[in-house]
Amino acid sequence: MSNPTFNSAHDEAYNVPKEARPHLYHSIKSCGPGDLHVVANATTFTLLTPDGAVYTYGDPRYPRCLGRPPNHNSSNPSGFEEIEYLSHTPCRKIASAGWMTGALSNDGELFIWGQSEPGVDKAIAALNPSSANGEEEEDEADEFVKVVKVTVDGADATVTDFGIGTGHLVVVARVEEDGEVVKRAVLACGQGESGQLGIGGRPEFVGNLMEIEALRDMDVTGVMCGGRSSFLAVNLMR
Amino acid sequence: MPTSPATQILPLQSDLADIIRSTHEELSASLSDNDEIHGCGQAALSILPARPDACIRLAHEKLHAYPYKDVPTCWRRLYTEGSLWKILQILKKQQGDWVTEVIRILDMALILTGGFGRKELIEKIFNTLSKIISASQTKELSNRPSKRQKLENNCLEHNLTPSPLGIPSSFPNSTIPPPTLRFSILRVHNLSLEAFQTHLSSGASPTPLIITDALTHWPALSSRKWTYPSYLLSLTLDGRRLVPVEIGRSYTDTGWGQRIITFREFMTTYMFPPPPSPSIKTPPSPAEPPQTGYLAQHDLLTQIPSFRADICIPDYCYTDPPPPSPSYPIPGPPVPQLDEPLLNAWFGPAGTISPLHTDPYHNILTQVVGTKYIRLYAPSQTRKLYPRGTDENGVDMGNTSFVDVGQAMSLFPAEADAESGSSEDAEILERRREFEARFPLFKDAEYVEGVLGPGECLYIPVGWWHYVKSLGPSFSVSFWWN
Repeated sequence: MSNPTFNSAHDEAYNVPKEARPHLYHSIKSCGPGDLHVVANATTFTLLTPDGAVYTYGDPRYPRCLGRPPNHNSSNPSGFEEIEYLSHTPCRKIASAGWMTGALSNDGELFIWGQSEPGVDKAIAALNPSSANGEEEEDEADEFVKVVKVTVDGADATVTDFGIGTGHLVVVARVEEDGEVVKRAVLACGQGESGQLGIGGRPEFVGNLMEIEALRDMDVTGVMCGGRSSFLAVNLMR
Repeated sequence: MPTSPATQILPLQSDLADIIRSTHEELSASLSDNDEIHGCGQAALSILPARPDACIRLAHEKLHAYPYKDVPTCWRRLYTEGSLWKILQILKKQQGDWVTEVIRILDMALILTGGFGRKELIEKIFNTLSKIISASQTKELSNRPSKRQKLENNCLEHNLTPSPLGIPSSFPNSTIPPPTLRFSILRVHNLSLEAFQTHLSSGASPTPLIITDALTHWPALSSRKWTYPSYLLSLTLDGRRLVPVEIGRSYTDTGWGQRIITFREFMTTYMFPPPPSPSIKTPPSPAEPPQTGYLAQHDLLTQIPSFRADICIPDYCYTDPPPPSPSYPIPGPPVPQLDEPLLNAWFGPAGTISPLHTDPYHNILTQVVGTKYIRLYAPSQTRKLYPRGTDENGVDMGNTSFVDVGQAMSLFPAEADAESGSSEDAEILERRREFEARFPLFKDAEYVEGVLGPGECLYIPVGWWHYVKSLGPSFSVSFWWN
């Protein structure tokens, strides 16, 4: 598993027994200002390092929100532990709210972990083990971190950005063919009672990602979610 | 299309108008300065009347974000206050099955927060709903005299005909044969308070006792018997009240969880599960075997005071018990001196299990319906019982043993002593070896055991380890005191 260091010269730390590796705390010292990205939700802090590793720290009663098993025997003074499932998948963005956290890989693959808000008995399909795409992907599936499969008109799509609210997820995606972007779409799922999904109306809950049709092929440059709201930046000059 | 229960309800308009008015008045009155709800901040408080749902959701999140005992009072207050504003909206509109919805919201508030600061108002609303429900039932009975008469509406009419909803009129007797008892708990007949105090003060530390015939005056055992499911449904607003239920064999198992469901759903799903259908058309389901549901360790009698009226706190709880022995400290954090006993209800089908554990209080466990097998180990045996430590989620399980007493009893039945044991099959011998390798001292742990029947109570001294298994449908009430 990859080792947490915060400069690029960390190859030698691979394959070193875990106890012998430098602590995250010591590694952070070599970071410049703004190099670390930290987000928080109801139970967990999540940290993204400049080299794309994802660490979490939080309430051990909610391991699903940690995205990894709680580690009580850790000698790590910072409390942050790496999500090992993502250790070979460098990420470029994290977002977190409520009881859910997500990470977007450099390759445009979206991962989420967590659970529904207390009192909500429905779950986003990707988080719900019983409805995971109905395909035989058990070998690769992690107990905590789930892959969000995104398709536009049936074609596999790459995720360019995403946002997470208290109980909802917004995904900006595109389909490429031979290096050309042929389709752009924004999709959303989760709690919709405040209209935060943007798909029209105020549906109580939407389990599977649904496209926000009004935004088809628009050049969305960024997405941010509030607890029960969503914001998009759109480039209208294109 | 089934009739919505709300359309069956003949609203008692004046009672309803009264409760709407008094709820509105109480909620609109300015919150007192020392009400801890101010800790939620002005933003949350200012949207209470208009957006109670948002307040309930915010508070619900906070209730889960803290360990249960550390939740700041302000969030419990906000949950309660939001729930009351919410039901006020529903009471004014009266759409759909509004009665059931109001009961659900108020019970969630009671179960999650104890109805903090608004217990009396909530109880008043429940009383009004109770009137409305019984009025509608009376009307329904007179309209439809024979065909769909609901037996549970009339607790005097207990015959053996199952109700249309598949709930029999009485709980069956014990279905699991009790094990052979080897070291019986001392049984005494209606012990006097003085004699009980003497028992507590005698010797180094008091021992367990089964006391018979001490509860004969309880209505729950005589005039308003809890053995009748229809009566229990009538106490729970026709089964609409919510109860927290533990799902799974034992709280030490993986996959164990808790659900909050209506009392009626608890009865039909877990107390009287539908028999497996022998139909050939449906292939045998690969799903897990039916799970045990247990309404366990819940302060039902505070949540639903009509239960409380059918029992009394045993006088034995007004004695002065000795403190825990300093040589065998109680696992877990110290507990405060109680002003009055803590009551818990334990209601479940045959085969519910409380794994071997200790409690930080003295306990009078009273048995109202059915029988339970109980095995007890003195605090001095702790070393031989393999207490757990902190589990992987950071929960201190030091009061619970690693030993599965049920497993031990099936591997080493009391009757087996008399036999030679040579005819045992290899698999059992292997499992015995594994058990003894893991818990070598357990076989030397001294214990006492007994079967507790209706109307009997068991004194469990503080710190004594106990394993409890119901031998049939069972309703017990425990009284913790110190």
